Amino acid sequence: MRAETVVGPTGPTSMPAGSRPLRVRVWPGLSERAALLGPGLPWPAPPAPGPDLEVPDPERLDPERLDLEALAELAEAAELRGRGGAGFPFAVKLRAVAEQAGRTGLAPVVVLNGEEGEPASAKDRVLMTLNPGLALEGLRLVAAALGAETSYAYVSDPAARERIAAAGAVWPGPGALRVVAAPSGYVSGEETAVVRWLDGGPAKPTHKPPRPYESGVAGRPTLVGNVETFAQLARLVRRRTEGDGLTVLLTVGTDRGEHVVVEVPDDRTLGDVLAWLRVDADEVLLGGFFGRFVSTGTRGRPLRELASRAHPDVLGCGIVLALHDTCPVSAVAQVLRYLDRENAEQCGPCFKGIPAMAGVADALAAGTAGAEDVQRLAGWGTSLRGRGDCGTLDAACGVVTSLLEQRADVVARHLEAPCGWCADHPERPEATAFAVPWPAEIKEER
Amino acid sequence: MRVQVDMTKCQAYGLCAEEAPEVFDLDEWGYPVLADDVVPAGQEPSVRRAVGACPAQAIKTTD
Ligand SMILES: Cc1cc2nc3c(=O)[nH]c(=O)nc-3n(C[C@H](O)[C@H](O)[C@H](O)COP(=O)(O)O)c2cc1C
Ligand code: SF4
Repeated sequence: MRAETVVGPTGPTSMPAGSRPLRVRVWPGLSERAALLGPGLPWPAPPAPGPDLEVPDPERLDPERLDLEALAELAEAAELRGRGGAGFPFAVKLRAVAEQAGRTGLAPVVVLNGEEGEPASAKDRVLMTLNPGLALEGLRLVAAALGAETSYAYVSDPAARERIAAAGAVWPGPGALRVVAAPSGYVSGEETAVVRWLDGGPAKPTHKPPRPYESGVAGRPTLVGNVETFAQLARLVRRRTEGDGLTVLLTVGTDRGEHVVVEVPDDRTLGDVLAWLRVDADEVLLGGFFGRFVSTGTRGRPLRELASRAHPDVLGCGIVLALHDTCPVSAVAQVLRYLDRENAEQCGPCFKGIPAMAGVADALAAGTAGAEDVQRLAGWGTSLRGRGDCGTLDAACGVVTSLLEQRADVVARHLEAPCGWCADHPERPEATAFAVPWPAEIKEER
Repeated sequence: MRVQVDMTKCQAYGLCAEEAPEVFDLDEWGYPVLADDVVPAGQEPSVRRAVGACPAQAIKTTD
């Protein structure tokens, strides 16, 4: 049963001349066969797990007659959480979609979200490029467990989409796989924007409730999951060596234009990763444009904990942005300007509030803001939270609050005069200065 | 009764705050802020009027 559609344009797969190499590194000692960014599993995977599989109950995890509860229990035991930013427990989402399908009698829809709208992230595109079959294997396991009739891969990057489409050409079911060209943009990967686009509308978020699990594509219960989340799930089901926990994909970048995508066991700490990569910046913004400046203690926490939201500094979609030179006040001003441009201009508190906050952040960087301006900024950082219909406004509030609370000393100094960095950069760079250059030539370092 | 405002639709007409000032507060840009999505007892009729008055049809209630 081959059913595969490519909707929309396919783009060039060859890299433009002069494109920079993007380094990819897997934690030393992580079994190659077990790594998401390794050579991967045969795709499509054989119908039943092979003899060397260490799965709790291989029969129940056979994709041909997959037991939903077995899959949920496996994800639960491994504490698998969404890797698209929100960190929501995967098992909870899986069961919610199944329950809704049972209640409504509608066959669910499963969506692989490969949009990766955050400019400072590249891990999803790297994963889709190196190991498209693993992401599709995860998608197929979920589709089989839920009894979905249609699965979608929603991917904006032309090269990554071509890799997914090529792997999808041997999609073994269940049902059809549709590989859809997504519009690129910061909000177009938000789950209700994804659903709206797949239903023929613009890729802009909608009001919640309903959330996609209640009513998604064509009104059906819909599970939208991040590429890495599906790949992690496939690896859990199909893992080859006993004792491998989950891993984490991170995009580590610096304000000096260095970028590397890494895969690390999730019991390692952020400090371990930075030391391994020899990144010694004092300032780290964790979680990208949704991020927070990490406190010293955070560096000693295992990534598993930072993925779980048990700690206020969260991994989000796995962006680690190390600032060697850039002043945090300027970084926040840059992020706010970016979010001002990239929000969907639907919710008033978002398209009024973000530029208002950006204005104060700009003045602060220029050394022209007063204490009352900072007070207003703090007020917005709290009062605007949750007032938009997607997380964009919350991202803006989050970086603002993090700056004011965690870097209060730096902020206070800017009330007197701009710091050296801010004085030297009166024309602040764009936040896209933190973007991973793409398309890039992927350079695997073993 | 519960009330919610679809912020993607709201155009800051402010009629909700005129019809039900106890329930809808307006922020500095004229967009409604709800203290609580549970409508205080006795406020149901004014909230219903607000639903009908909103030109953007952005207000929804559930029981
Ligand atoms: C503004 C905004 C942008 C988002 N962009 C993406 C994205 O590009 N890719 C992604 O996987 N999730 C993105 N998300 C998160 C999705 O809404 C959703 O939570 C996620 O795809 C669910 O998958 P997960 O549970 O596996 O993480 C975004 C969320 C927001 C609020
Ligand atoms: S919060 Fe902003 S980006 Fe999100 S839906 Fe509303 S206007 Fe759009």
